Amino acid sequence: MIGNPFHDLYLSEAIPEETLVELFSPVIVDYASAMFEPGNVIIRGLQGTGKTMLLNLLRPEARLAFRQSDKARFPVPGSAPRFIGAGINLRKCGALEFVQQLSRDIEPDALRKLELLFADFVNYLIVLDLISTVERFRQSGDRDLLREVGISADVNKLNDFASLLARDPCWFDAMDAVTSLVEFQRSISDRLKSYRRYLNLNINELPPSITETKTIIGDPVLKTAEALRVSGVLDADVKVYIRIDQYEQLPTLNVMGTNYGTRCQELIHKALSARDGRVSYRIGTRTHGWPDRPVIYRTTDVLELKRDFNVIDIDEVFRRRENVRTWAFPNFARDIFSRRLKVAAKSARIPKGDYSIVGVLNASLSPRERAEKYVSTPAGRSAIIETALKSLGTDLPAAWGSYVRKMAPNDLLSAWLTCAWIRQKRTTKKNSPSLGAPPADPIKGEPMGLPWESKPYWYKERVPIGLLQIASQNRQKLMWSGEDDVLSLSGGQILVFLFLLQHVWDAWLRDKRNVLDDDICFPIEHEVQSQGIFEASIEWRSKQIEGLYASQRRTFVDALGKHLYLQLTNDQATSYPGANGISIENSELARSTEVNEFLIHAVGFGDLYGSPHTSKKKGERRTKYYLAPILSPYYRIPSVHTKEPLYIGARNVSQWLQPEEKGDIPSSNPAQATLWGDDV
Amino acid sequence: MTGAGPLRPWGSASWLFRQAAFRDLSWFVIGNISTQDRCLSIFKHCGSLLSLNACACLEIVDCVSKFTEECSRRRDATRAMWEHLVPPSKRELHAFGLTDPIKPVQKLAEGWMGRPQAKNVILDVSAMPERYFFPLLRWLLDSQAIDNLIVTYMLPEKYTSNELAYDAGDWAQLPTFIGNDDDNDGIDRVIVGVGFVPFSLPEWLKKTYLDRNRAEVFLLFPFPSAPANIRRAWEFVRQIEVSLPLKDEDRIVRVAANDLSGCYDRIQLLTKKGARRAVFAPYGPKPHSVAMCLHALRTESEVFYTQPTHHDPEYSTGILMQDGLPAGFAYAIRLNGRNLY
Repeated sequence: MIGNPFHDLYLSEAIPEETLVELFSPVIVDYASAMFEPGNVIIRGLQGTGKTMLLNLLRPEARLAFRQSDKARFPVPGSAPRFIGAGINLRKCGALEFVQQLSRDIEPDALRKLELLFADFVNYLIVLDLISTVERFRQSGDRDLLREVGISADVNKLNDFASLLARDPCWFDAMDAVTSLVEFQRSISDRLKSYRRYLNLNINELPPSITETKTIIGDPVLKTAEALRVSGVLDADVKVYIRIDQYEQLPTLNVMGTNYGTRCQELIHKALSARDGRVSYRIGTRTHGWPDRPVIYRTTDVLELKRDFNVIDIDEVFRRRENVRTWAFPNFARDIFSRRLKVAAKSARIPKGDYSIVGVLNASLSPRERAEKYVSTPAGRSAIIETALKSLGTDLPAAWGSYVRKMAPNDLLSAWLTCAWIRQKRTTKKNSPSLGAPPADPIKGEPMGLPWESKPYWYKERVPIGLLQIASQNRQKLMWSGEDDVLSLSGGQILVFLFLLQHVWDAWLRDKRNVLDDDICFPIEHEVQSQGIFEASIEWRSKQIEGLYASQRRTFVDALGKHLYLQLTNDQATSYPGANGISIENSELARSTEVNEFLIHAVGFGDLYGSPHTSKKKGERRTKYYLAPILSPYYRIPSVHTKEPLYIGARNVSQWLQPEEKGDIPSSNPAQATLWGDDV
Repeated sequence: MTGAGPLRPWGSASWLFRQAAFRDLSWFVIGNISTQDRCLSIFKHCGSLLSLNACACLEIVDCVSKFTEECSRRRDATRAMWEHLVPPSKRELHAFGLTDPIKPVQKLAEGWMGRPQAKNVILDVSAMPERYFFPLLRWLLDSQAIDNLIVTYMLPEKYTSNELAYDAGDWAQLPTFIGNDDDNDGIDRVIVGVGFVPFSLPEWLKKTYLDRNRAEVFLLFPFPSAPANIRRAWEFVRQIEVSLPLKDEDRIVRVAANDLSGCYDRIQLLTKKGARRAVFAPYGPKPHSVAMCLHALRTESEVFYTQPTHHDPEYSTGILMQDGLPAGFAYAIRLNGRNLY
C-alpha cells in the first residue's frame, strides 16, 4: 500500500536517526550562517518556520547523528563545526515557575530576590548542560569527532577543569568543597533539586546555602567556557554557543501587578551585554517576541543591533519578495519535498518517477485553464458573459457586445475582464480616455486583440480577482494546485508546506483507493490536489485556537475573510484588485494601542502577515496586513498580493473584532445532556 | 487489574456518603464558586447525607473575555445560593484569577489543614480547574492531619454544545508538577486523557518528547460513554493521529469515564507501577484527571496542560438530580489515615 510521506510533519518518533539526517535540509543553514559565527544571535520566526530545526543543530545529539550516518554530512560550513552548544528551554526547564511565588502584596525586595533566583537557576542549568555536552561528545568515543570539534578525551583534564572552575569567585564559595567533575555535577544537581522543590512549593524557602550564593546572570557560563579552555578540555578556538529557547514566554510572568517577566528578559539581556568572545548566545523566540528596546537589567542601557546582537528572522528569510528570483523558500521546500519522497520510497510504495514538486504536483494551471475549470462548457461561458453584459446596461455599444460574445467561448477570463474594462472606462473621471472602439477583428489565425494590450499590467493585476469572480458567479470553489500554488499558500512556513502536502496526499490516496498500486502514477490530478488543499485550509483554521486573544483572533479573521471576499466579488469594475489585504496608517495604529497590540499578536501567531506599506499619499506611513495564505482557500480569496490593499481605519478593525450576531441561524443542538455518559 | 490492592470505595455520591465508614463523620468541604450550577451540588447534600463542619470555597475568575459579564452574573447567582445553603459561621470564600500564582492558595490550604474541623475533607473537583485541584490534592495528601479524604465529581443537567474553553496557552506544567530534571531523555510514556479539544497538544507532544526520544504516547479513552461524546472523543484522537501516528491500537486504552480507580490501575499497568517514567496530559474527564494526579504524586511525574484562559459561561448548566439529591460520584482517596492510591 502507498504511504503518506508527509504524515509526520515533524522529524519525530517514527523516524530513526539515520533517516532523520537524510530528511534534514541543509538549505536553511545557507541563510543562517550567523548562527555559526561568534556573536549573539536572535533567531525569530513563526511556529513552523524551522527555528527549532536550526537551533537543534547546536545540540550534541544532532552532531552525533550526522556523524553516525554515511548518508549526509553535518551541514555546517567550513571551519564552523568547531563549536559546542548547550542551553535551556525556558518553558520546559521550570524557570517560569518562579511566577508561582508572586503575590499582590509582594515586597520590592522579595520581588528582586526572585529575579536574582531566576538568574541563578538559569546559570546553573546552562553550566550543567554545558558540562553534559562535553561528556556526551567524550562518551561517543569517536576520536575523529573529538578532534574535529576540538575536545580533549583526557579525563584528567576534566577533573582539572572542575577544580579550576570550582575555585572561581563567580560561585561565591558555593563550590568550595568540589575537587572533581563528579562532585561538581552532583553539587549543581543538588542545587537544582532544591530549586525544583521550591518551585513545586514543597519548601517555603530556599536554604541560605543558595540564597547567599546567588550567581550573576551569565557569569558562571563565561567562567565555565574559560575554564574548559584553560584546562585544555576545549581547544582555544572552539566556540561555545548557548541556546535559550522560548524567550517569548517571559512576558507572561508579568502578573500580580509586577513586571517580573520583563525583569527576567532584562536579565537575559544582561547576559548578552557582556559581549565576551568566550560565549555567544542564541535566543529562540517567536515573531515579535524580541523587544524593540532590549533594556539591560537594572540599567537604562539597551542592547544594540549589530553591536550586541544580530537577528536571523526566518519569516523574512523565506518571505516572498517582489522579485520572485530572490525568494528563498522554494529551494528549501523543493529540497525537503524530494528528500521526503526519496526516503519514503525506500520503505513504502511510492510511484516511481521524478520526485520533484513539479514532477508530482505538476505546474500550476494557467489563468485561462483555471477559468475553463470553473466553467467547463462553451455554452456555460457564454451564459455567464451574457449576464455580465446585461449588467453593463442597454446603452452598451453593440460593437463591444459582439466583441465580448465572440471572445467568451474560448477565453472566458479575457471576456470577463473586458466587461470590467468597459465598466471602468464608462465610470472613470471626465478627462480620462473614453471607451472608444473595441480592437479590430484579428486576421485569420491570429489571436483576438485585447483592450489592455498597451497596459499589460492592467490584466496581470486583475487575473486573481477575475478568476475569483468567475468561480463565484458559477458557484465553484477556487482551485489550488501545482507547485506555484502550494508554495504560495505555504507563506514561507515549512510546517504549512508539509501540512498542505499531507492533505493533498491523503486526498490522492482516497481517490486511488480502488486502483492497484502498480497502476498509480504521478502527477496527482489538479482536482484531487485542490480538494486536499481545501481540506488543509479548513483544518488549519480550526487549529488556530491557542494563545493570547485566540478567540478574538478567530472572530477577526472570520470577519476580515468574509469582508474581503464580498469586496472582491462585488467589485465588478475590478477597481480594487488588491483588496485581499488591508492597510492602516501608522499614526492611527499608534493612537489605537489596543488595535495595534491585537494586530501585532495576530501577526505573531501567524493569522496575519504584516509588512510596511508604501502609501499612495506622499510621506504617509502605513502597514499592510494579509490573511495567512493557507486560509485563502477557506475564505475563497486570492493568496497573491497585488496592487494596493484596502485602505481602512483602526475603527474597522475594532468592528471586525466584535462577534457577529448569530442572527437567524438556529442551532440544531443547542445543548447536550452529558459529556461522558455520566448518567447515574 | 494489578492484582490485590486496597479496596477503594467509590460510586454514586449518595451511596458512598451512606457507607458506615463515612456517614457519621463531619466534613470540611473544599469547593469552588463557579459559573456552573453543579458547584453547589455537594452543599445540597449537606444536612441530608453529609454533616458539614465547615467549608472553604475558591471563587476562580476566568481571564477577561467577551464572556466576562455573563460569567460574573452567573457566579453572583451561585455565590448567593451558596450563601443561602451554608451558614456564615461555616463558610469562607477566597477569590483568585484562573491563571494567578498558586502560592497564596497553598498558604490558605495550610491554614485549613491545621484546623481540627478539617480531619475529614471532601475536595469537590466538579467545576474546579485542573490548575487548582491538582496542587490542592497534593497538599491534602501531604498533610498527616487529614484522616479521611474524598474527591467528588458532581453532574450537571447538560453541557453546552459550543466550545467549552478558549484561548489555550502553551504546553506547560501544572503548578507544582514540574519534574526533577530538565531532561526528557528518560521519559518512556506520555499518557493523554482524551477530551474534546486537544488544542495544540499533538504539536507539543512531538516537539517536546518525540523529536529526540522514543517516548510512546498512550491515550486514555473514556469508554463506555454517551454516543454523542464518543464521536467528539474520537475526533480528539483523530486530531492527535493526523500529526502523530499511533503505532498500534494498544495505544488507545479504554476506561469508563467515571472509573477513577480503574483508570489509576491502567496507568499503573502502562507505567509498570511507575518503573517507566511518564508525563501526563489531563484533557479527559475529571475522574481520569484525578487518577493521573494521584499517579503523578506517587512518582513525581510531570503533568502538562495547555491552560485555556476562559470558558463558556454555560459550560454546564443545571444539576442532575437522582432520588431527590444531586447526582455525582465520590471517591475515597484516604480512609482512616491510609492512602488508597
